[in-house]
Amino acid sequence: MKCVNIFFPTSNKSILSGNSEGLIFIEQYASKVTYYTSQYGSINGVSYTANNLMGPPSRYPAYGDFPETYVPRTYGPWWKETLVISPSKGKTEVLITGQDFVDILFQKPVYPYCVNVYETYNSGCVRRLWAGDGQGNWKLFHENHMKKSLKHSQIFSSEPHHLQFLTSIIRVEIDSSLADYYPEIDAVLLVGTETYPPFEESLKLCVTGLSTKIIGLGLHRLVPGFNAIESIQRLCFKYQVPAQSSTICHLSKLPEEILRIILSFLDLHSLCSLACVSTSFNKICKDSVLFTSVNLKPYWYCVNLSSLEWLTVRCQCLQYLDMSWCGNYGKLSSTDFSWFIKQFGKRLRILRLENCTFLNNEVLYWISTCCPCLQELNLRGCRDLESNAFWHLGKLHMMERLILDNTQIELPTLLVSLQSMTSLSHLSLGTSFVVHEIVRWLNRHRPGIISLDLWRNGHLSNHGMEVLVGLGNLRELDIGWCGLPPNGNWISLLANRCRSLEKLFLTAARTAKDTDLIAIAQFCPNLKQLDLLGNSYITSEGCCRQLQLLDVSYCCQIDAGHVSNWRRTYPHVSIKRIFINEED
Amino acid sequence: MHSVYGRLLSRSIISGLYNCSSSNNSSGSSRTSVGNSSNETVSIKSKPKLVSAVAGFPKSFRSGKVHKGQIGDDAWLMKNIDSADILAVADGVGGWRDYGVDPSDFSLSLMRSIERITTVSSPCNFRNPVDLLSAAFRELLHSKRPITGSSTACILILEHESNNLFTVNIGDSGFLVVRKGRVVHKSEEQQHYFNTPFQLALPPPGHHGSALSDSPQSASQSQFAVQDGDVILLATDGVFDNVPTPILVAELSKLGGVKDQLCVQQTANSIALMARNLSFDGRYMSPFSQRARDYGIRAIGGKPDDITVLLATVAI
Repeated sequence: MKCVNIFFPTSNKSILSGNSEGLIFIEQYASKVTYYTSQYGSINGVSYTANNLMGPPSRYPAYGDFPETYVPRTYGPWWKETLVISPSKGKTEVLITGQDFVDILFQKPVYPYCVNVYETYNSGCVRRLWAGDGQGNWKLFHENHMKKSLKHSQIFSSEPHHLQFLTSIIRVEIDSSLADYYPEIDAVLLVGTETYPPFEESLKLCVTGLSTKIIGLGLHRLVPGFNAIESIQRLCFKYQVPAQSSTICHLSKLPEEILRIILSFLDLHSLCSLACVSTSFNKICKDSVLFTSVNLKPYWYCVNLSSLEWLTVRCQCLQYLDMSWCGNYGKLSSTDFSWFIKQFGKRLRILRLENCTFLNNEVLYWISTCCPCLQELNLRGCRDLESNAFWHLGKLHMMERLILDNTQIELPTLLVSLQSMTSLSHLSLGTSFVVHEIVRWLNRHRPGIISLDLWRNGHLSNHGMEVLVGLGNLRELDIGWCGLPPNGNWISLLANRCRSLEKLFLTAARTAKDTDLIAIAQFCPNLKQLDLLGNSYITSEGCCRQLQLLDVSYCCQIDAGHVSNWRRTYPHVSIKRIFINEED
Repeated sequence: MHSVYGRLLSRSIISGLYNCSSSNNSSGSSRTSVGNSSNETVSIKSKPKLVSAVAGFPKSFRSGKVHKGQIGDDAWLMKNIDSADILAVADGVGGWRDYGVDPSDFSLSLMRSIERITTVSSPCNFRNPVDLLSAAFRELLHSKRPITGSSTACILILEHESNNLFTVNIGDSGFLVVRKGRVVHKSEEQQHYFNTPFQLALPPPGHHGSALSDSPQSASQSQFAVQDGDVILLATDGVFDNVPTPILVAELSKLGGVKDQLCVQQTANSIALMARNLSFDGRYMSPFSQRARDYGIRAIGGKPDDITVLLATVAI
């Protein structure tokens, strides 16, 4: 397979050879993965898990689907459209975060110069690279504009530049929203120096590098007498004094209500900048009405106690709070957050705390005590929470959407907590425990449940399937990687009883047959997403009118020819089939 | 036949075939690598303590595959990691061929699974090799491509620190450890009925009820110390069913603690060839026929089967 190398070794060699006094570049592969938001593989496995990022690349430059890589749990737009998450009412943030990140520890702390990410499938998913010192301080090292994923393996290489920040951890922020299918990463390489070169040295390096590139591209011939180094130096030191402006502000003549409506469209960053303009603006920008929904996820790298203190003046009417990714590595403590929630939780309806490591027993106690109106609680990826912390959730009677993917919650605790949630309609449990117990309970006590995510939850027995098909109101069901019982027509029965299904994931169910697909096509006209990865017994299938996503990877009786035919016949359906590497 | 043999020979001569360190590092002279065991300039791995070789023949040259790690329906693994040396074999149960399943798929996937686990989870618990076997078996379920079939398995792990050999065996593959001309350890065969060994299985969906499937917990484990000069033979039943144990012991004693790679390879080759010739001898009272008679079956001759021989001398 063709391999495109964005990192230019030749130009770097010339830089290095020219400046070899005292500047030693150290290359390191990952020694440990300290944190990851999600992974496709199972927790104790070695396929498609975050630990595969350790060490040198195993499969690069090959291109294809390999279990020796790291794969995040989701891709594309499909998971944003699920019913589990409340429809978004927050302000549109300008800074868009990726869906996942991985924190990678390197053995020797260095001043970073360049980071290479080896991608082996659906390349081009790296959005940002952050350099961290391990104490919770982060600096943005590289930002990338997202484009469609590439169909060849590549080394994603950040622009070489020196960062004066001793780094031991690199956070790779992954944005797979434009990816065609699951992106896969093989390894990460950090190039850095032990000592930070003096300013002139690094400037000389950058300038020499730039001028080599310009000369390489032949641009210097465009302008006769062009001297690259001089021009660049002049550019670097150009300085413009802003023009003086008048002190009359016409905007402040507008009535406050209209101003508030205009300002309600601003993101948090702009709102803060606006507050610095004048005292009248400062007053308006503190209005609680503008802060009914607060999303701190794009600012995860600088959220700490003072951020919460800043919010206290503004958050009297807080209804939606998203603090996912914030406060890790000791930036925020459980006491700080508990203090905040005690004051401002009473009107809170939606609380998202994905991948927050400061959560503990105390915090959950205060959340459940002080947020009686809570309708959506997202604790995805909070693996450090002990199981008994979840006991407190039982006080949240108004809960409708509960997301506990990738946490350590255990069955008895879960059952107790769910007991009082009478309006529960969406439940997401991507962890592994006895699944048919949960399903049996849901059948008896919450038969109206609308969406259920039991991905990788363990084996479904005949009894488990029996009670599962009884949940007739299901619109979304994910039973991927749960082993289905080998005998019986459970999938047909499921289609028959749950006719409102819009999303059905039967990944690696292994028992799906053509008759099941015919049943699905017949009984589920609203089906939009269908995942049939790894089922070897299906050969043909009916296509539902509303179908948007169909995944037939690793179904060995459906070959590339079939798939290209279908893509032509049904252009509105995204048909996914993993590119099969000829080597395997 | 010659060309295949020659290829086997040349393949088998390369030791440390599963040295998974890749050479992807750029070779710029002004760069150094830290903390990677794959760099040529920094050597962190401890020296392997086994001088090992592999040899074998598939049952049928026409249909049996011979690749790295695979001989017919058998699969093998030789691997050195920081703290241990690992030898393993798996014998794919050929009966699945009648059901449209390739028997070599399961055994090869199992061996590859063991290799991946020992690479990635470095503080691997070798003191309980059953855990390694269970983890490798579970990993097969996590493969996106459906894997079906069954096989036996036998894993030997020599831990460098303690010089102990940890073993786990399920089925009728086995090992033999010879010291100064005498057998000091021999594995026990596990069989349900005649010619039906214990086996790890992933039956295809239609056959769950009817197929034999044993849990990794039913494997037998053992642990013992080894000394410098011990000779370890790990083989599938193609060897033990055709070559009587005294002859194997004699061959291994001839090796007598020599740590030369070529000598070990030669002995492995001769054992494999012996097994091969005897298996096709129609009038020889093989151990297989002997046992068949014990079960009341009038059998004679060798048992044609895939032959896989892993031979190693301990060099502490």
